[in-house]
Amino acid sequence: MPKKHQVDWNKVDEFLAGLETKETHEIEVRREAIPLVFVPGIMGTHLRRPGTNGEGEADGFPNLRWSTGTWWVLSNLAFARSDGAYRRRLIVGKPHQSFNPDYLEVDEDSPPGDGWRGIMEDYHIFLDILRKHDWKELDKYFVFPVYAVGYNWTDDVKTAGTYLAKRIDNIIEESRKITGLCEKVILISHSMGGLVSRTASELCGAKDKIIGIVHGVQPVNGSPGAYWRMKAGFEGFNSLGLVQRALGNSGPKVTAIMGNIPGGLTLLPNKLYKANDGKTEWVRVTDGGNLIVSEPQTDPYEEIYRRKAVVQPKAGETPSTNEYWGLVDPALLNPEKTTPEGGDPFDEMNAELNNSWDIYLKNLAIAEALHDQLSPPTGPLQHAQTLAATGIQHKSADAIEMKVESNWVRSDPYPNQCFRGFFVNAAGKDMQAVLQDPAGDGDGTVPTSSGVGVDAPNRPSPGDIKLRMEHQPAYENELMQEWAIKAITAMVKHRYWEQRKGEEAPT
Amino acid sequence: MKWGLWVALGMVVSCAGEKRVELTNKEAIGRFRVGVPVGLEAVSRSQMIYGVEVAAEPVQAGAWDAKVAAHAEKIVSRPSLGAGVAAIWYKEGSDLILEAQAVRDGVAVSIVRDAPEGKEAVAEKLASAVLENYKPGAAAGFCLGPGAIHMGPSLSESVRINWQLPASGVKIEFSTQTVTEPDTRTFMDVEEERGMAGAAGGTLTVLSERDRTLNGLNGREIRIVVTLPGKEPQVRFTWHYPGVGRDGTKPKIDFVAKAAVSGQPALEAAWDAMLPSLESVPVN
Repeated sequence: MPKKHQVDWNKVDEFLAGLETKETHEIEVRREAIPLVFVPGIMGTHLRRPGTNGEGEADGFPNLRWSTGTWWVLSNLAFARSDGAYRRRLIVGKPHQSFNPDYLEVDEDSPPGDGWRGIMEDYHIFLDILRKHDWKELDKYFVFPVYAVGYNWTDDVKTAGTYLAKRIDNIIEESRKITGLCEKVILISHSMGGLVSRTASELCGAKDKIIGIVHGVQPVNGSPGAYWRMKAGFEGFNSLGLVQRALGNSGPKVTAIMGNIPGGLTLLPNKLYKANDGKTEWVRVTDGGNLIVSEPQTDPYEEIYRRKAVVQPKAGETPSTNEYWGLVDPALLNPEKTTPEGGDPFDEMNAELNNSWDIYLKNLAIAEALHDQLSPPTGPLQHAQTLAATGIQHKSADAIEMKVESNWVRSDPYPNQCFRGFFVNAAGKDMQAVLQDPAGDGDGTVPTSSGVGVDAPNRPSPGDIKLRMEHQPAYENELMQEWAIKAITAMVKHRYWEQRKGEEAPT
Repeated sequence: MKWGLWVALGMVVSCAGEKRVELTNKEAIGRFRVGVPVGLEAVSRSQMIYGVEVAAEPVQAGAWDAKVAAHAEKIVSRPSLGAGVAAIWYKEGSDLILEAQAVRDGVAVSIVRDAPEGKEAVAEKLASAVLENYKPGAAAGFCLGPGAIHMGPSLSESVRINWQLPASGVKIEFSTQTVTEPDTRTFMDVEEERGMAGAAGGTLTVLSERDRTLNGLNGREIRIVVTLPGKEPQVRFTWHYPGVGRDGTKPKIDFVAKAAVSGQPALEAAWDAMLPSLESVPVN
């Protein structure tokens, strides 16, 4: 019987001391496990009420509070139960509750195992491809377990990043059991998962446990699409996935959720954002071709997000001063508690107690803090080994355009997939600023200017890339799948090069 | 004891050639009353007036103490809201929440209201008013089941009640919410839903769609069946009334009933019995 020995793959040419000369020795090369960890986008993780297994109902609401299963979406978000009040109760809680990070948790097993159960089923297509992929020569040195890490996307991205960093530790420990050798992972992100991955890497101490990050359709500097949808609902239903449709087709439906969760607000343009034309002013209102509103000059938080969107002019004010182009109409944040003016004394007390706007500002501050840390004035923080894919050739809101028209009869500011800001001009005429359909280039959600935010020249092959693909199903696009596998391969080769002190990996 | 049992009527609804469904009682919730078929169990209900969540339930020994114990570590103060009213302020996350309970004629009337810091006195005044204006019986006012709040109507009221018929899997929801303008927007139209079902590889068939007036309120009824791959077809009936702006007695109203297609006969029977029974409750 030969005597067995194990040698790490990267030390096969090192001197092996202490072998008896009269024995037969069998040297087994120990491969290194490199977990491929997929981090989904917003809404891509199933969420449930803590203390439940996600089954059944309580108080007329499902214990599974967010799922991407078709029947769940059709039962719980479409089909009449679609107003803002219902949606807020589903995701945030009862009217007296504001966002609480403990209100929802990832619907996954404990321990999470490979984590696939917790994420949107559509992602499994790509994860299966990764799991079955033939890595050719690299298989001799490495094994590639495939994981997914879902997260509570309603919460602060910093919290999600902290959770991801902790899961990376767990995954490394677990994967070490495969061959006995595992030190680092490769992250593959989709959309908001890119922000979470960069946060884990750059702000939560996981950088040294990550070989590299492959980003797909990341809103690096945010997207005016988030603004558009909070004003008018999700647009372009024909090209959006079921889940995005389910979020709602009007401003009141979307704002009741997105305006109440810090995770959602993190998708707004940050202070570094520029439209595809390079301009910092991405909210633009024109009247007869003349620009009458052009924001922000420097800080979208101060100049747009913290301005109350008052969508009707104050009676008797000429010209009116209402800033209809602000992000959030306070009346939409907590519909069940909102009281219009002119009620009885108890209505006035209720109005006095309504702090929905202040709660929104708190959630906004959480998003701003993350933006400021992750994207300081020097540029977006990113892992040294980064490769990014950006979707193009789909109409996307790289800037918000509103056009002023005369208004004779309309009074609803929030028709489905539309927004009208009403005001009185200097001549005393009733006018409306009508939100225009997205017209910039991008993936339908993230404009090109933001998608390429972490791109850099001279990256190893396959390099950063622009592909004609849509946002939500990006990883179902064959060209994207091919590119992502090449990107992962490049990172594995980097690992080889790193461990073999400059030697090129075989292919 | 069954939720909100108001009065046993033993009422029988009969439509030519259709099933007869016995309505055992009338459930009073918010500004409305509706007949409830035999076997339909209320599984949850909620009411809100002036932004105060309010409920009335039969007194259960120790229930308030258990609630206080559950929040023990978060209690900020125990305000005095009047004779016979127990109350606590507690912090949950960043929310400052007032909960109070008063026992009236064997019924525990409880409220929940949040407030920004510094506005506790306003919340206490509002909560006290709601509790003080509770009266047994549901002949008038903003109904909670065994009794009603005789205030308003407020510009900010909402209610929701869910029933189930366990044997057939039928689920029915009734909800109302005051509006500033008629709500013609939030209720998805059939074409949109058809698109969603189609995107999921399924089909949506409209069984019927028509204007239907209930209790003098002109609403829209839609009955559909949805078939999705791998699932038993589901039927859903809805009736939506858009409401009148700034009128607490005419909030938007939604009836939603769902069941697997095997439960459709039971759903239809319950639906056809309940909807015509909808009636308004006098304000005073």
